[in-house]
This record gives sequence, structure tokens and C-alpha cells, in this order.
Amino acid sequence: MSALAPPTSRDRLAARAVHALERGGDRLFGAHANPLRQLGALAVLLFWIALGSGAYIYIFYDTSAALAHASIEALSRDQPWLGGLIRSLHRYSADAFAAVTALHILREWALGRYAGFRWFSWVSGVPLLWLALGSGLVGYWLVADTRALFVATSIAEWAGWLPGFGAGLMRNFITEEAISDRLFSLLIFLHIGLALFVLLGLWIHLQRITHAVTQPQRQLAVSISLALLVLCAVWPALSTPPADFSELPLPVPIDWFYLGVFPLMYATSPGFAWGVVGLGSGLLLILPWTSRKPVPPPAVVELAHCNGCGRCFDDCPFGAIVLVARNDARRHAVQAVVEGDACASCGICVGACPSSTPFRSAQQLVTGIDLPAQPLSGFRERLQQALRAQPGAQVLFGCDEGADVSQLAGPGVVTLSLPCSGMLPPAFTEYALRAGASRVIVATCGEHGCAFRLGGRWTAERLQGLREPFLRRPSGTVQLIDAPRGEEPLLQRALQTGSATPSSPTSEAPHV
Amino acid sequence: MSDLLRYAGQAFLYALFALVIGYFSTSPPYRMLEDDQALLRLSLQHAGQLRFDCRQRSAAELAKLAPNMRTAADCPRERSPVAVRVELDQQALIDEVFAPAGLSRDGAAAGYRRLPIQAGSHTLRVRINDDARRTDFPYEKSVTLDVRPGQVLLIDFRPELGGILIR
Repeated sequence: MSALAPPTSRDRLAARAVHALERGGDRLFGAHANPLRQLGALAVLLFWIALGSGAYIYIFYDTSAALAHASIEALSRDQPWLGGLIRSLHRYSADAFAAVTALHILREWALGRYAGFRWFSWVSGVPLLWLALGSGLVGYWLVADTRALFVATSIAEWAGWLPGFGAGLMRNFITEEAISDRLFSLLIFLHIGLALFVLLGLWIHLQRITHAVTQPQRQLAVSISLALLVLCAVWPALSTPPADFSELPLPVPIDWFYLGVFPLMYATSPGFAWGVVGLGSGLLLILPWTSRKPVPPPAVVELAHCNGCGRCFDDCPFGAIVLVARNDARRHAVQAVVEGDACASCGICVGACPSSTPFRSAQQLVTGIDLPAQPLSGFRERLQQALRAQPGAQVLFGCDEGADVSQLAGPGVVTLSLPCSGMLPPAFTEYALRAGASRVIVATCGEHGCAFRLGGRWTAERLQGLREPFLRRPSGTVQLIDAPRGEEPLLQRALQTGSATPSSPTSEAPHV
Repeated sequence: MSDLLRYAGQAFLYALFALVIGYFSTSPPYRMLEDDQALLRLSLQHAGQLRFDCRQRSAAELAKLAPNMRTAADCPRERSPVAVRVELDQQALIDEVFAPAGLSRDGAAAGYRRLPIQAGSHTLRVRINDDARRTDFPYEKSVTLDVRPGQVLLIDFRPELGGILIR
């Protein structure tokens, strides 16, 4: 076995940085509770906390210009044990939502997960940013304190730059007599309405994702909630004095997660601030079409071998497979059809297909569903050839997106990397053992590190007999190891010692 | 890594996360103005006088019009732009003309300007002309003000309330 090359030399710098951070997070939190691997779900949790705490505040909120400030202050003053805590939780969960969402975007960008079949999820996320920002801005307005006045006049100055709004907009917020109870009713309607639109947008955002994880792992959810509660207790969110139209607070304690655009506007101009925000949004929107990464052809259904069992439909992480009425003369009711533009070409459907067994005697292995660029027959051939050349070798199945198994090939070790570990039909491990392998190791990216979301989970469940197609009583040792990008040393140790010594508490090495 | 170290590391990172959220929720405070500055705002929305006088149509002009359009007076609907001059201690701060809105320029003229000024004692002179047929400023107001740091001064124009308002 040769010395290991730099573990992630295939990736660009940003992706390498994310993988390194995630590996560190796995060691500290465990992959199952690593916040970096569940940023989307974490954002959803924080959104629910903000929504729930907001509902409580709304019970006590007075939507009149005269009493809005006092009603919020009363929460902190009269019931600091609950009202004050919940009010603070509302603020901090909204801030944490903004921060975690920003990290979520950054991570997906760094890992190149925005182009090709992912374009819909990426683009549909951009309006959510605007909706969340809008709801947050209006929320600060509702408090009717000096900061609220700063926000109101800043928004008016910013929006006033746009054609159609004009300088007259500012007159609605510049004097006390211009502020009416009706305005506060409108604001609360906007604050809640925009938040509900975020919820609707979230549903659209997840349309091309099956088995979407919208709840972070319990330990992570509890830890992050506790951290926020401690923050609320130690550093409660408070209002500034009531809005005074003749006075500007010096300085303004602004929330940089939502109000950061205003210092930029005052340092430059409203037009410049619109330019930055517009350009940023525009860049995010066109990003999916800037990728030059080649798009592999989508999976193809071989109708003669498809019995319409629906396992590929169940297992596809991106909803790229639909079941439609059979259009040939066979007795099965339905057949699988691949929606090409939604297909990730990960091969998870190939691993799910019951016809993907290498024991079939056909010269050319044909499966019910296969990847045209990397057909399963090619993997069987390579495995046969490698084991003929090295009888008794250990066979290491890996994943193109995970630890680089090709580095570990050598005397006594046969490696085979698939587009995703989920493409490996469980019967392949038994086939390798019967073809002369001394041991089989299947390396996945783990349940939370799979580039195609569900490959690691499905592979583990199939090998453990929890999900069809099952691995039935292997005639030798089949070992499953979580080895995401950069965990080549873990696999190397497993090959050398005959068993994996987990380098982190999450890199489990169960013998199946 | 021992469990103790792991839990300590987790606690540290969660605390750091909470600290970052708590800090940037209100800090660093934004200074819109320097400590010794105040803010002067000009905000107006006013329909100027009609730009042109009505004139009587001649008999020949009336004859060319459809019978239902034969009104004797021709009153163009275009309104005057609103000219504003603001001087602070005899230094011109604003000298602008705000055009009326609308395709036919028959709407209200609206304008908004914000100018940081030094706190202290000042003489503020505001002049407004809302009639293009005049060359002078029919509305004028001069005041001496003692401006506090952070104070917001608003120049408004409401002819129905007496013209120029400084508050």
C-alpha cells in the first residue's frame, strides 16, 4: 500500500475547507450531532422557535401607536421569567436563523451543490432570504422604540430611492401625527404574513427532496435550544426608549443580521446598497448556470428488467423517479420512469433495484435501472478481473464523493469506487466473497455526510437487513465503515489491522 | 479524544455561537452621526400652483373644437415645480427645484433630503417658491436655533398650516 496522497486533492479549496471543518465537527460532536452537517434542518428548527415565541408575544402585543412600545416592555418587566425570556428567544432565534441560513448557503456553495439537478432547490431558496429579511425588518419596526424609528426611516430612505416610491414615502414616518394605529396593524400583518410565506417557500424549496430532514438530531436540537435559552437569561433582549421623532439615538444598537444594509447605505448611497443587494441576489440566482462541471447522463430504465416494484422510487433522494402505468405488454401494473433533469446520476436507484444482482448468469449484466456512463456490469467485470489477479484480496467498495479508496489499492487490496455507496447492491458484497475475496469493506460517507443525501443511510440499512434489497447471510466478513472525505487513514487502518479502529466516535465499524 | 474533552469542546462552541448571536444582535452600535452632530431633514409633498394662467380662447379656436369641448377658458393642468432654498448661517445647504409628478406634470412635487449639521447655535433660513410665474420666494422663514447633538430638525411645507414649518 502506498503512502496516502493529500486526502482531498480532488476538491477545490473551499470544499476542502468545509470537509476539514466537518471532520473536526465529527470528532467533537459525532457525525450524528455535527451542526455543520445539519445546517438546513437547524435553520428550520430556529424558524419554528421564532414562530412559536412570536405567537406568545402576539398575545400581549398592542397594535396601537401609543401602546405598542409599552406592551412589549411589559413583557420584560412584568413577566421576566417567561415573557422576557420568550421575547429574547424570539430575537435570538431569528438572528440565529439568519446566521445558520448564511452558513447553509456558504456550505452548499463550497461543496458545489447548486448546479445541475440541484438548481431548483438553490434558486427557490433565494426568495426565502428576501422574505426572511422583510419579516425581520418589519419585526424591529413593531417595537416602536428609537431603533424602530431608525429602521422605519432607513427603510423609507432606502425604498424611496426606487422609482414608484419616491420622496413622499418618507412622510409616513417622519412625524408623530403620521403614525397611526392602522400602520401597526399593517406591520403585524406583514411581519406574520412574510414569515408564513417563508414557510410556504420552504415547502417549495424542499419539493425536489425526498425524505427531507427538517428536524435536527435530538441532541443537537436540545443543545442549540439550551445555548439560546442561556443567552436569553444572561443577555436579555430589550427595547431602547420609545421612539422620539425629534431625537436620533446616538449610537443605534442595531442588529447586524437584519439591519446591516443600512450602515452600508449611509456610508455610500441608497442606490449603491440596492446595487449590492440586487447584484448579490442576481448572482445567487444565476449561480447554477455558471458551473462548468460536466453533467453525467441520467439513469435509464431497462423496461424488460423492470417489474415496477418501486424500490428505486422509494430510495431516490431527489424524487427523480416516478411510477407510471405500464406501456408494454408485461403483467406488472407500473413501470419506473426517470425525470432526467432531476436525476443526480448517483446510482442509488441501481443499488435499490432487485435485478441488480451480480449472480445473474447473463454474460452482460443488465439491470432494471442503470447509469449509462457507469453501468453496473462494468463494476462486476472490474471486480472479477481484480479478484482473478489477486485471489484472497480484501475488497474495498468506496464512493467517489467520500474517502478516496483508489489511494488504498495495492497488493492484497482491491478497491472499487462507485458514484455513491448507495449504488452498491448488497449482493455485490456476497459476490465478492464467493469470487475469492478474503473480506469486504464498504466505505460510505455516513448517514449525515452523503453528497447524495441518503446513500450512506440506505447502504447501512440494506447491509443490516433493515431495507430492501437485503444482504442475506454473507459467507464471510462484510464490514461497513463511515469514511467521509478525508478519512482515508481510517480505511487504511481497517485494511491493515483487519478491523477499523474508529478515528472518531461516529466512524462505526459494525461487522454485518 | 476523551469524552470530557469532547463535552468541554462542545460546550465551548455552543457558548461561542450564543456569544456571536448575542453580540451581533446589538453590537457594535452604529453611529449614524458624530457625537457633535444633529440631523436636518427636509421633507415636502406639495402640489405647486398652476404653471400657466388661463387664457380665453378666440372664436376661431372655439369653432375648431368639438361642440362639447368649447369651454371659453384654456387652463393648462401643468403645475409649477417647487423651488427650495435652505441656508444655515448664511451658507446654502439646499438649493433645489422639485418637479411635479405625473406624465402631464400635474401632480404634487415631493422631495426629501437629509443633512448632518453641527450641533450648536444656528440661523436657519428657508425659502420656498411654488409658483413658476414668480421669480421671488413667496414663503420664507428664518429662525435661530440651539441644536442639541442627535437632535432631528424637520423642515416641512404645509401652506394650509401657515407655510414653512420647522420642528
